[in-house]
This record gives sequence, C-alpha cells and structure tokens, in this order.
Amino acid sequence: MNYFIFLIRTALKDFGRSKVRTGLTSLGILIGVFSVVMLISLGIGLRNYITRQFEDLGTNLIIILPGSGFSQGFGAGLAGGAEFDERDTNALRKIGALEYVVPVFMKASDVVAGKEEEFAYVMGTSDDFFSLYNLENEAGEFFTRGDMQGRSKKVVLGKSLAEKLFGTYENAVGRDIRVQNQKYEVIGVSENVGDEQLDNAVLMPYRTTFGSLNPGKTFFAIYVGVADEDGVTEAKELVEKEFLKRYEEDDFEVSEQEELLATINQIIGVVNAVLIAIGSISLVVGGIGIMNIMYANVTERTKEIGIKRAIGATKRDILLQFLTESVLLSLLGGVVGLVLAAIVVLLVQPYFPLGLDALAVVLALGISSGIGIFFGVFPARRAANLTPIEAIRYE
Amino acid sequence: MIQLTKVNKVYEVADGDFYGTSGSGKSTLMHIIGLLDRPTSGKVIISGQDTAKLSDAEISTLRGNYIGFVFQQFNLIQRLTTLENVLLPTQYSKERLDFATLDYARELLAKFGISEKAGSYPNKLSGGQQQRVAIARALVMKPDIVLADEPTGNLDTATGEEILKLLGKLNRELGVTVVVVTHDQYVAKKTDRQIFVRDGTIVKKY
Repeated sequence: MNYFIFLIRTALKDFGRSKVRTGLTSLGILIGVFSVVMLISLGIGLRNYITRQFEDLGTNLIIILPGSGFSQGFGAGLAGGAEFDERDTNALRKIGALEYVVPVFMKASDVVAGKEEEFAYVMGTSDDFFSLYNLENEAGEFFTRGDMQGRSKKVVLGKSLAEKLFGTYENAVGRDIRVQNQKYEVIGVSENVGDEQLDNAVLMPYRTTFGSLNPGKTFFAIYVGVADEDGVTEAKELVEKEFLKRYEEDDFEVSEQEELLATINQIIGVVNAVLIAIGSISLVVGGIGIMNIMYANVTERTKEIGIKRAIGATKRDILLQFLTESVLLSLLGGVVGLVLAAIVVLLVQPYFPLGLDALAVVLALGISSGIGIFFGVFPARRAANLTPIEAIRYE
Repeated sequence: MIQLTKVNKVYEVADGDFYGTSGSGKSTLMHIIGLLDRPTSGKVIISGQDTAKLSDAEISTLRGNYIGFVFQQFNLIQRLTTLENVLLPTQYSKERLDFATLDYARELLAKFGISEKAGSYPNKLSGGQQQRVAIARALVMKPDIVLADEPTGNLDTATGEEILKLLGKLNRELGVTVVVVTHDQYVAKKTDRQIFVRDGTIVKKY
C-alpha cells in the first residue's frame, strides 16, 4: 500500500515538473473520452425520447398498418398493401377484448384562415383518439360521438398550428378555417405533445373527410387499444385472424407498441455503436500521444533511472513507475473528459433527455486506464531494461 | 563480506568507444563490486552467494541492502527534497526495515550538519552539501560497504577535505567499509589501504 502511494506521489511530482506537457498529453484522451461519452449519452437520449413518445400512447396499443409494416424498414409500411375502410373497423369492434378502435386517415394539406395559409396534417379519426393519446384540450372542446355520426364540420387544431393561424390559440375557438375550399369550424385546441404532426394537425371526425378529402373512404392506419395490458398478444392474434379473412398476409401488419419500440431501439443501437466506434479513433490517437511522451520521458530520465537502479530499484520498480505515470496521465484525461461530458449532459437535459449511465462511466474510466497501460507498457519496458551502468553514465 | 575471485571484464570495443582511456579499470572494478556491472568471467561473492546466479530483482535488492553509492556528480534527484532523496532507497526496499527510516534519515542529516536543508531541493545546495546528502543516502539502508567514485572530483580542495574526513569518520564510528576510487594521490593517501590499478589489473597493494 505504502509502495503504491509512493508510485503515485512520484508520478504526480513528475507531472508537476512539466504541467503544460502533462496537460497537452492528457488532452488527447480527454477529447476521446468526452466524445465517446457524449455519443453514449446521445444514444441514451434518443432512446429516452422515443420511449417517452411511445409511453404517451400506452403500452396496450396495437397498430394495424398496410404493407409489411415496420419490420422491413420504415418505408415499407407507407407504400402499397391494403387500404383499410369502415368494414374493417366494424369487424374489429365486434372483438370483445378491444377497448378502442380508432381509424386514422391522414393527408398533408394547406390550411387557410383569413389571410394566413399554413401547411398542416389533416387527420380524420374518431373521438376515442383523444383518450388514446391522453390529449388535453387547451381551449374549447373536442368533438364527440355525436359529431362523428352527424359528419359535422367541426375540427380541433394542434396548438402550434392554431398559434400560426390565429396569433394566439385562444383566438382560434369559434373561428373558421378552409381546407381544399371546404369550410370547417374550430371548436377546440389540443395541447402540444412535441410531435410535429400532432402539434400541426387539423383533427376532424373521420366521416367528415369522406368526400373530396378522402374519396376512397379509406384509412391510413387503425389503432386498437386493448383493455387489459396482459391481453395484448392475445388481442393481436384475434385481430390478425379477423384481417386474414379479407386480406393477404403481406397486405397488412399488426404491430404491438412494444415490438415497434424494440425495432426502433435496435436501429438506434446499431447507429450508436457505429458512431462510438468512430469516436474511439480519437482515443487511440490520444493513446499514441501518451506513448510518444512516455518514450521522450524515458530518454530524458535515463540518468535518473540509473541512479535509482544503483540505490536498489529493481526492473519491476522502474516498470511500475513509468506505467503508473502513463495510467495516471490517461486517467486524468478520462476523468476530466467524463466530468465535462456530465456537465454538457446536465446543461442540455432541459431540452433533450440526454442520459448518462453507470456503463458509460465505467467504460470511460476503464478504457482510459486500459489505454494508459497498453500505450505505456512499451516505453516502461524500455526504461526497465536499461542496464544500470549505461543509464547512470548517460548525460 | 565481499569476495572477488579472478574477476575479469572483457569489453566489446566499438570505433571511438574506448572505455578506460582516462581510467585503468578502477571505475569498472567499482561497478563490479557494486553489482552495477557483471564480470565477463570470475566470481563476485557476497555473503557466500555467487551473484552470477542471482536474478535482476535479487541483485537489485542486494545492491540496496549491502552497498551504498557516492558519485562524483552527486547524482541526487532534482525533483526530490534533501530528505526525500535520502529516504529514496528505503522506498525500494522489499523487506520491512527494522528501524524507523525517517528518524534515521534525520539523524544522518543532523550528523552531517545539514538538518536545516531537509526541505530544500538539490539545486539550492552547494556542492559540498549535495555530496553530504548523497553520503546520507548511501548510508540510510545501513549498508556494509560504501563505494565512492571520485567523491571529491567536483569539489574544491577544502570541501573535498571535509568530505574525506566525513567518510573516514563513518568508517570508524559506524564500522562501514568505505571504498574510494580516485586518480588523485593526495586523496588516496588519506585511506588506510590502497590498491593500484593499471591497464585493468591490480599492480600493487599497500
């Protein structure tokens, strides 16, 4: 233990002698550890962000999409496959285990209010949509089952869109908007949830879209809420069975929320791993910097090594002394890099859920000491293998 | 007790690399006695052990325990204070020492009249003071032998005289064998026993 303290104290004394050199050498590792930790926390942040978006929907949700859905990439679900209609929703409503059946029609379109014209997402859906998304109304009210039946021309705007069209969202209620030359009355404004499409949506009863907006009377997707969370897999099978009566297997995709989340997380994981691998290059460069300086140190201190050998230091003593120095250099960079990364994470957290986990900390410290050992061992061995007599004669 | 039997050192001499042109092998002899160098043939026996058969770690430990070095250039470590320099050999000791090393180091500094320099760095000391620190460092492990290679070579005559007196006193008071290597007849005459080395061989003993 005493010996260990002696090694560290000796190393720190040597650093004190050349502070600038020590700082610059550690800087390489600092940058490497900082970038790797930031990339890890960015990965965690993306995952948190997406999980949070999904959690708003609840985990008891089943999504039915045309085509082969998400499992073959994001694009696949949006092109080709079946077009759903009311026959499908009616059939689903007969399945007892399902709490909500919410069809969603979606079309991007310009929306006009007075002289303002804005790009928006027109969504035709049912009144259950609001409970499914746990949406709160900021002003006015949401449309009801009665509005659904009556095909009333009442719409609910996302808060961002309402502010763009009317200045403030409170102004929007009771006013008219035009979509493709049809007039609709704004009856409510829904809260912003951080989703680009929902925050800029014109939500209307799905039957109201039937006509010029949606001549085929089709739906882009059907969301199904299951009453009992444990019954999700069972309900999914029932839904699949029902749809197979009408469609080919490849024409639709029934996904659980959990599956979607898992797929997306997998993709993020792969992208993140690649980014971290690229970031690690700077760690290697930093390690080479340490090796370079340690070789210079050995040469510079050859005489000192000789003196120490003369007064009883073994090869191992010399090896450990130089190794301690390179590990401390590297660890110093690692710790400072980690602290800086933690500060950045804390600063950014109010805006984006960046995260740090124990793995990132252990990895940062483990990798930096590993680099210190790996790149330090060659110079240290050169120091240890100097013959005492030649070392002491060195000027 | 150190015994040398038929010790012989053969050098591989490269162009322009003539060991011993200034000397005659006296420094080499000292390095071999001090286990810094190994003889080409012959034996160095310390306390009955043939050192040729020992590992680097064992030789280093023997060097630390039995032998203290004093060099012409003092060879103190510049980044360490006087006291730290004196204590350095104890840090490398593989065995627990049976005396309080810090107390002993301070005692040696006091004996040499440099107590007040304990916290100073070598570059703040005079040559004579530095050599005293070096001698204290050589003694701190309570060695059997102190090997001094031209200990007065970098000092003026008066200071050199003091250092030689100090070494003589150590021999008498602590019972340490002091071997001084020198080319200087005057220095040599201060010792109890002289060995002349010329062209690599011992030519005369007194």
